[in-house]
Amino acid sequence: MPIDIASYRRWEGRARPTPFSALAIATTMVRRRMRLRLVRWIVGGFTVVPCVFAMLAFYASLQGEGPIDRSTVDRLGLADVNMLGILNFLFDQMAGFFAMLFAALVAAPLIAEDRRAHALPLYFSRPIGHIEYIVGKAASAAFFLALLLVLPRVCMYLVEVGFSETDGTAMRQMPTFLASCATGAIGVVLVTSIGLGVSSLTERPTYAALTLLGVGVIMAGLSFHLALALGKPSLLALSPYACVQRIGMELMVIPEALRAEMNALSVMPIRAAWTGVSIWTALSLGVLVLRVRRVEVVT
Amino acid sequence: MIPEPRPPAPPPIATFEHAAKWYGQVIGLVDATVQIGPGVTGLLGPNGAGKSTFLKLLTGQLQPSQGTVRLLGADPFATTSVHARLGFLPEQDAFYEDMTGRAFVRFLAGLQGCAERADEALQRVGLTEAAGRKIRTYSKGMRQRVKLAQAIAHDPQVLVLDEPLTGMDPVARRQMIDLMRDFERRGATVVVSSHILHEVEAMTDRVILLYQGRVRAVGTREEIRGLLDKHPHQIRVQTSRARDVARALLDLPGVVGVRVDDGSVHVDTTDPEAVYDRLPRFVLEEGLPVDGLEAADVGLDAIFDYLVK
Repeated sequence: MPIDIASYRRWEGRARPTPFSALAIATTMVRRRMRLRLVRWIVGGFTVVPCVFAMLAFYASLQGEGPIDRSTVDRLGLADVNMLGILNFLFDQMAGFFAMLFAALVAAPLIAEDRRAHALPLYFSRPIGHIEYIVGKAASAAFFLALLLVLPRVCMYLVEVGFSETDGTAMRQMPTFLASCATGAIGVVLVTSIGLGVSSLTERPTYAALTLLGVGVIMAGLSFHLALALGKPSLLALSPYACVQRIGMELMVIPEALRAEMNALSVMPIRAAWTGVSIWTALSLGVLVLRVRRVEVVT
Repeated sequence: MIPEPRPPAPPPIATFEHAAKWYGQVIGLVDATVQIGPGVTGLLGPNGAGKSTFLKLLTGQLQPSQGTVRLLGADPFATTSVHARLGFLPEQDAFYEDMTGRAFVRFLAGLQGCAERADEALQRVGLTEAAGRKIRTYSKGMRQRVKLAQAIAHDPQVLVLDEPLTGMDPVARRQMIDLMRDFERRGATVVVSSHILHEVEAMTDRVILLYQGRVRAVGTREEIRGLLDKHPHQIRVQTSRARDVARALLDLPGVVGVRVDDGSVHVDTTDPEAVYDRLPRFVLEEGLPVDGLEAADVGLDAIFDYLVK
């Protein structure tokens, strides 16, 4: 087909930087991922299944048949403990591990594929700064990770509110709910930044994904052995995210650590502090890596 | 009679002042000082001459190690807003293969704030019918067209094309050149790189010659041609009667040297057309056998070797 010059109408408008370019990048990346059937299945497996599992577990706990049965609750003296907080904490430990697997799928390709496809000049010859590019890519990964780390908490909250036999449950549990969502959001930011940092190191998304999985396994092992060495075996500290929390809590020698851990709300300030430090470190490393690598990738 | 004052020259769109770029020990560009005005400017040089580095500095993807680069009055590396008036076609394929041509152009045009222009740009490059197909199914020529569509969607004031004719058939090449000329007519600035001399000649009169990271010459096509024509071209003639052919060739105008070498004759001439015209006559009229004929040094590397000697 010939190039059509005659039909071309000179544009009278004015090209301008769009204030939402990061959003445009994020939505396009999410759409691309979701367009692939395999990805849709995997995303569904990583989000819908944990949601359903969390809801069922919580519903069972409400009936006294959940992962923490009534006798254990009575033995540990946790009868008055906030059950939503406990479930959120347990969910946290498991979702943290799956978050690394999920990040290998949704975050690992983000920058690696741009480097492989030589797409960076297309971005940086447009009115887009490096921060907008990184934010856009991070937002697309964060969207998927939020499905895993935040959505099930919302579901659990709705289940409790829906099945509660007492009045005012929604408001009473709101602080716990918001705190758990904040915990999930922190996890999203942390895993996203690690994922982007690793993704920027290679041109091959597969290598980035394998590296993410390796990081997850190594840190889980480190966490587990450190906890054993300290004489306080921890369960299910299977992700960097959970690992940082776990190491922090063990090193700070919290009195009655088990009880404190079981109450997600009470350990929230400690979690937030340690997670904040780790986020800062991961973000710094991620940005540093991107800055250093950029010269090479555009060369 | 007082001559009318000449109109002032248009201000340069892009300027390089002693710009240099190196990657560690590797030199990309050295001490480049040039000005680029409106119209089509060709960037000519063999592979590895520094053309891509030049264009990346111009489009703000790289920061010069030394000197300054200005595009539309601003530093293109530090001022991202100037990119709103820039269109760039990279040399390498730069696609998300799983996207359709339309989605790809719409996405990139959207980053310029004009996603609605995507269809018109696709129509302009003749890809309307294939716009709904995934890019992974496109031919080389179609890929070039998609890259061109994303570069022109926002009707840029400065269009930078890195080896745009690569992979295009002759008809598409002609159309691409027409499109550049159309941009030129509308007052835009087009900078186009190529390592093939006749391609650049077809596209523009203004040429910047790069070689080994240095700007070797800046001028019109005729000026560059003149530089090249001062140097003899070498032609190799394969024949079983090398001495007879060499004797006949020595009488031709422009021939400055003949060398016989193992069944072939090497001719140095400043007028290669005369050799090509007369050889068939030798075959027909004098019965001299000619088994093969080739230009021994038309490669751009050889031409640039001449220029820098």
